Amino acid sequence: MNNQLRVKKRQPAWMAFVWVLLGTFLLSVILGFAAGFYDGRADGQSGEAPIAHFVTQTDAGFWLVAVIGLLVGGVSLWSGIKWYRGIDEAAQRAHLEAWYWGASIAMFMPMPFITGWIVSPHMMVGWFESWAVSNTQAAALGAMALYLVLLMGYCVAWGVWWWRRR
Amino acid sequence: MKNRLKVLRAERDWSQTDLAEALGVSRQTIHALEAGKYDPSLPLAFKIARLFGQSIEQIFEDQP
Repeated sequence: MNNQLRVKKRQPAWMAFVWVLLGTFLLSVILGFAAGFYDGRADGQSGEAPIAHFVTQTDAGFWLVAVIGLLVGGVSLWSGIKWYRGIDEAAQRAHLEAWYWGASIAMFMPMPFITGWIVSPHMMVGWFESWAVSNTQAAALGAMALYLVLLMGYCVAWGVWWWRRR
Repeated sequence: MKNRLKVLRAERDWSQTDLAEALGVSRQTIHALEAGKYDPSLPLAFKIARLFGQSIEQIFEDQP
């Protein structure tokens, strides 16, 4: 009986994903600090913060941020595809089922509240007024809350998938 | 799906990690396969069969 295993060592594909995420995060931090430092100095001298003004008050600033977001999203997607192709089939199945079931169930969970808030918005309006957020910020918070709910459902379903196969 | 993976592995004195590396999957996947809680894809089943020198039917038992 041949007991010798010919083992082909796998490259840890998830490392590419981690490095890209870390690199993107570090680059964002450095650029943020640099912009903040530059604006801080300019603000001290002339009472204006040109980068903050450019980003938040001009069309060009909006498009610059949108293009950077597109680039970061594209790189994240690319590294995610590399990572996904590197994990084994059970891990892939876990993520697929977790996304389908976790996100579907999580999306359904807040529906009664959302319906209630649409029909009778006074409670939510009261919250936003007490938190002192603008309508735009409230809309952004709503989108972020929806994303977080989906993500939470996905994480729970992923944990359950592996727990059932422990 | 029932299978003889654990027996075949024990006969060869391989650990779950050894088998996982030989098949290019994680140890958790081997654990789930041996426990019958995860059914492998056809390509993985063929890979397992080739590694043990047996047919898929000799390793995996269909449960109607």
